[in-house]
Amino acid sequence: MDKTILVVDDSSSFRNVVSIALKDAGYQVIQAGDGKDALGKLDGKKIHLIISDVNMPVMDGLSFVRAAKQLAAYRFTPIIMLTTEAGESKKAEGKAAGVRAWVVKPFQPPVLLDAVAKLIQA
Amino acid sequence: MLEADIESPLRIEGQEATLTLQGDLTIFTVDALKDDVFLALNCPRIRVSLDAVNDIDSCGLQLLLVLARQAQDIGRDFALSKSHPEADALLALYGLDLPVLAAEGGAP
Amino acid sequence: MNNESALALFFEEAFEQSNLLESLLLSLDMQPEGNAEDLSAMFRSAHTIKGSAGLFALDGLIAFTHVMENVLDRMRNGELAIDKPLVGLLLACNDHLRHMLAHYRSEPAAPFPEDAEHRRLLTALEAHTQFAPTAVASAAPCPVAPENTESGNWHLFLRYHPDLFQHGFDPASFLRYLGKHGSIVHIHTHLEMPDRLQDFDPTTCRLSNELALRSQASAAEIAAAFEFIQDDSEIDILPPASDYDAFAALAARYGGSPETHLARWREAGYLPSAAPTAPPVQSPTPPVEVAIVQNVPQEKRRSADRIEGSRFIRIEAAKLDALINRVGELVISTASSRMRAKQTADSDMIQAVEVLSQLVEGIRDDALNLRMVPISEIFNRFPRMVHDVSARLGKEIELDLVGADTEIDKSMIEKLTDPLMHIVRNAIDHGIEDAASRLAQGKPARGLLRLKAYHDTGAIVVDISDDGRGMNKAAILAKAQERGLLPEGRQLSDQEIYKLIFLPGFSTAEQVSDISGRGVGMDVVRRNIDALRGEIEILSTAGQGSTLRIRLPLTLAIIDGFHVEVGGSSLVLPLDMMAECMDMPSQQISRETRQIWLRDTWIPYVSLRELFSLPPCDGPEYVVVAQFGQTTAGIIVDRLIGDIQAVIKPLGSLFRSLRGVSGSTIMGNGRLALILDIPQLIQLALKREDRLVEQRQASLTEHSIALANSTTRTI
Repeated sequence: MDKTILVVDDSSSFRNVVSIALKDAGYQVIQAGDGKDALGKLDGKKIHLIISDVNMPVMDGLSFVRAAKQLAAYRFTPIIMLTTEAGESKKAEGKAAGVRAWVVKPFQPPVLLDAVAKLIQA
Repeated sequence: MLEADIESPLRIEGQEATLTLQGDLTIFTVDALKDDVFLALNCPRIRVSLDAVNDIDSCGLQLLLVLARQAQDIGRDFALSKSHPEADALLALYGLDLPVLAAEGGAP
Repeated sequence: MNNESALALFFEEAFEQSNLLESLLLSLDMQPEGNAEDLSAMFRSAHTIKGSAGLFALDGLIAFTHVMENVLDRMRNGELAIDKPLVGLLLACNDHLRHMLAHYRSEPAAPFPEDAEHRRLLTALEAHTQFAPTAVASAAPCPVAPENTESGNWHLFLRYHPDLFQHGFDPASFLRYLGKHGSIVHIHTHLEMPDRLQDFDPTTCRLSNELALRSQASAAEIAAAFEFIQDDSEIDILPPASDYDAFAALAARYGGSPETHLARWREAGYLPSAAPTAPPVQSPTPPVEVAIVQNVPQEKRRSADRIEGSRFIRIEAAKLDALINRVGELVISTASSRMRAKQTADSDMIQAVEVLSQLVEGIRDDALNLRMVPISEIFNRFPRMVHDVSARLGKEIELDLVGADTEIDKSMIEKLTDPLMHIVRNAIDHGIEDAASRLAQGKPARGLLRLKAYHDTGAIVVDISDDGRGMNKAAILAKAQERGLLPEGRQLSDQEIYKLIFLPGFSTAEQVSDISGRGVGMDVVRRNIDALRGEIEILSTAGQGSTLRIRLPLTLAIIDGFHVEVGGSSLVLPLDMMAECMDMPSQQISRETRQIWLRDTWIPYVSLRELFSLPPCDGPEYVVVAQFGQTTAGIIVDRLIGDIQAVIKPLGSLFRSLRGVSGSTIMGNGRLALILDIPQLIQLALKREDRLVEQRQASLTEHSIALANSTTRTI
């Protein structure tokens, strides 16, 4: 069974490129455009990894993660947060929310795949 | 699918406790499984079937390891009823093994 | 999706983000205190562009947006005072960003040539960042440890944090990941048994690992496997050929008896027999972090009213055009089926085809609707432009955009932008007075410019209004006279006087200023609007301002038409401009002045036979009363056929010079029909009516009622 990754980012072009890279690496990908959208996709189906941006309209990444952690089926789902150098201060907040894996934007797809490989394997 | 089955995975017949685990043996299910798993320690013989397990992670494996170690410490006969490819791969990665009954996947 | 289309999507999105950033900057310019939501959204725009640019390795773009993002981040965090110079700088940066985007769009592989402007902006931006510019972070290895030069194993000691599992990590993944760098030749897994099983939380991690790894990788590469857990878990890495002391030091740091650990490691073959020297590499050095914990205001976001990607699907314009063309063909062939069905006189058949054509009509509307985009695509450009132009002229102007969500055919957007820009520039330059003279007239110092879009009887109307000085009729007449543009000895209505400004050669060098004179006169505006089958009307009150009203058809592709015939040729009138049809009256008609009496007024008419130089009709004729805006005229045809859907095709060069025709269409029977240009025909009728009525007035004095009527109507 292919593992499923939920990619949450408000940039559709970003999501597309990341999705292509992840699919090429053998994962199934679900996309969401913001935290609220992403929460809607957490409907009980198995998700092996969540990759989420921090800065998004409607519901930001950290609020999303906090909400997701309230859901039994996603309490322990691995999460990679995407951040920027400018977002360093967010890390403390993220840490409190249970986030430990950060990847700094901008990056090229191999950098993300490398981070993913430290958490799950296709 | 992520939740453990409501039906108990533990069946006790005479001297033997059989744990039939299904679906996920992962961090999402260990909490729910824990009590039944440790109840098995009341029987002299403990058999664990992983046949119906389709996903196992290190946290799930850890629960089996704790059970096996405890069984060993208090003199119970613990064994997996059959080898399970995914569990085997994980055990190999950690340089561990668990006793297995069936010959084909045999313990080293 | 291939890389090319992903890249195209990126640019589209990046330009969108840039536009959003601009509009937010402009509103910030009006209200310098800003609000948290807008400031966050601004930051996000730069952030999004940078993030996506990274995927395509557009390094110049990444570097530039990185600095912008830093500044926007500091603004968002309240660390920077927001003032006009800063907003101006960011606006300039955003412009530059678009240049960069345009560059990379045409040549994604070529580095952006960093010109003087680029350096100037970067320097200015960096003055607002807290730190010296940092290189954009990449997966640069931290400077650690000697390379593995000789054979021998790395030894890794991994004592995982109890919360490791709960944080979503699995040690198995790290171990498998290490397989990328080499092979694990020995591994020992330790399980720390819980004291009491009933207190055991099975989601805590009680495992630890010690392993020997054969690898040519560097210490940093190996350490990177544990980057996510290095803060919480204890990760010790001893490079190959570490000496006994290194192990001993590590064993001492382990809990319990160091001897036990050393014995275990000796047994596993970790310990060196000899004692070569190499310092232990402890936990991978975390990057030096300057911890700045700020009072980051919790970002509040209410509803998604800005960019809501998920609600939209992007479609290539060409695909949409193909669909609309196909629907056009569908409409034509349905019309043809309908005709054939009627010929069969089979009522079931006719009924079935009727249902089909209704569905097709629905599809047509849906398809056309796909092309509709909010006029805000144009309107959004104005805040910036008005800001710039009024700043340059030293005028204070408030821009009011009304009805920005009014939908308009996408293909009109481009053609409408330039004319609107020109009209607005004109209004700022010539219409709105400077603050001093406004105050002197008792007007507020700040001028008002309003762009308003709305739907009105099958048309889209855009009003450009200002509260300036209004059109100066005398000055226009004088200038027209001077340029020899005035018809001799003719009294002009106000409307006609205003419209003189659209004549080629009316705007002249004398009038050209930096702002409105860009080699484009109002005549070009007029031509552009004509090309859209639109019409311009001017309303003006001296001292109080003017309104330029542009009426445009809803769509350019398909129209509901009315089929008529003249001299055996098929012609189509846009149905939404038709008021009524009637038999040609034998009385109540004035053939000399080409007027018919319609209920309580005389209206002018045009005979199409006359227009197309055909012999007069020998049978009965019909009048189609057509309306456009406030104008009405009759159009005389041979036969009325009925409703038809016409897919507009551009006119071949042969017909382009034909008066009163705006396009052509293919009928259900496969024959070509011309589409009548009603606005032009009405204009023609009105002009000729005036002339004829005047001629008649000169010779006769009767028909005074008719005259009075026609005069009032033309105003």
